[in-house]
Amino acid sequence: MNPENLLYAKTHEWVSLADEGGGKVATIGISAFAVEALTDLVFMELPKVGQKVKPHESICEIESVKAVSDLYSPVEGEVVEINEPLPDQLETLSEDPFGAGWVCKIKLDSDSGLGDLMNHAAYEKVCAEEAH
Amino acid sequence: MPECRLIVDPPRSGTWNMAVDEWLLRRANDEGVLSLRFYEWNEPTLSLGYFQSLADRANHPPSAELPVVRRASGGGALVHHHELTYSLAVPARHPLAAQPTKLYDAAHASLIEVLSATVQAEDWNVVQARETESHHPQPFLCFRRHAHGDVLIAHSSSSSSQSCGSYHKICGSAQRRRHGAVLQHGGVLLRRSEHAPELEGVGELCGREITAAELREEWIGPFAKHLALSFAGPQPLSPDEQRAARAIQAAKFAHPEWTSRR
Repeated sequence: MNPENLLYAKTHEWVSLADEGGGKVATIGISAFAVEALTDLVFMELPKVGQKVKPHESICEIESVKAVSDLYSPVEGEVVEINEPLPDQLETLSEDPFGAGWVCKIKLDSDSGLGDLMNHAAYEKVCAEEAH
Repeated sequence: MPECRLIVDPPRSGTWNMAVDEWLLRRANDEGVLSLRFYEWNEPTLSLGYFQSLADRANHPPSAELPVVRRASGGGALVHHHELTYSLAVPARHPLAAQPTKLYDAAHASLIEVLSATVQAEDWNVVQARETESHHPQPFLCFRRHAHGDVLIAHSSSSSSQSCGSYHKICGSAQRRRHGAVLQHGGVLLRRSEHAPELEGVGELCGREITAAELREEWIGPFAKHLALSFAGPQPLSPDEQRAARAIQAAKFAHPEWTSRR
């Protein structure tokens, strides 16, 4: 996916929205900026299919050599698909964070949370501020 | 220079210590409170990294009888015995919160300054690890793992490789990040414990003991300098804060489901 076409949460998750089966489905991942900041990744626990999620709620956790961090849902809905191979191939998050490194797909129950998301230009400004 | 709350706690249980650290992370996240806490443990205790399996403690017989607590932070297991532990809770808006390595390096650089000035022996240097060693599987104990930035005591005749056996890790820290706020805590191994006899501490390596109280007093100034913080005098937890910590202790760190979740 082209990062310039994605939406971003201030907690560094990216979102790709698509219409599927009469509803909206959000593909969620972790931005390249966040993956780099996490440093060496060692463990990841995926969300569960069927899990109900709300904006800003933790949906799964990831461990790097230095830190345990939460991944937050940017949207409200139900987890309908997870990237099962990802925990065994964490290097994918660094190599292709906006493609093969996707984490899960969430079928939206509402538009809650979508208004808080940023476009790529706004997100780049957030990253620039955090980097200094 | 941002003002940081300083907390100096007496030795308490593992579940209490982790509950207070959790409370400080919540205050950093919810109210923007920056805090540095020093504490000790009222009995030898094993703490597990967040993702470690409780069953794995069977692989370390010397600590098998110790009480155990699961941390919210990552990394390997620690035997908290002859140790000074610190925790830093940093709000998301603070520049040090954005990059895990900066906070890690700053805290460890302050410790190196203290130990170099107080206990460093002629033939030993206190240094930061330059690289992360990869082991599969990872050693059970945190102090058997070497990550970039860890505090090592190294014999001055050591070669450039940090894995040559002359390097001894005496402090490593771990973080828990929540909505951009960070809890970082770590223990300084002051001397060897019979519950982790394979690990030498500062006393054995430098031939000079330093107590937890002495280290704490010496460390506060360098902590302030390296992290660009200012401290007022120590501010103990209020009765309301202690109630909040007790609630976290009961619901989380002392709860069997938390301890045995993996």
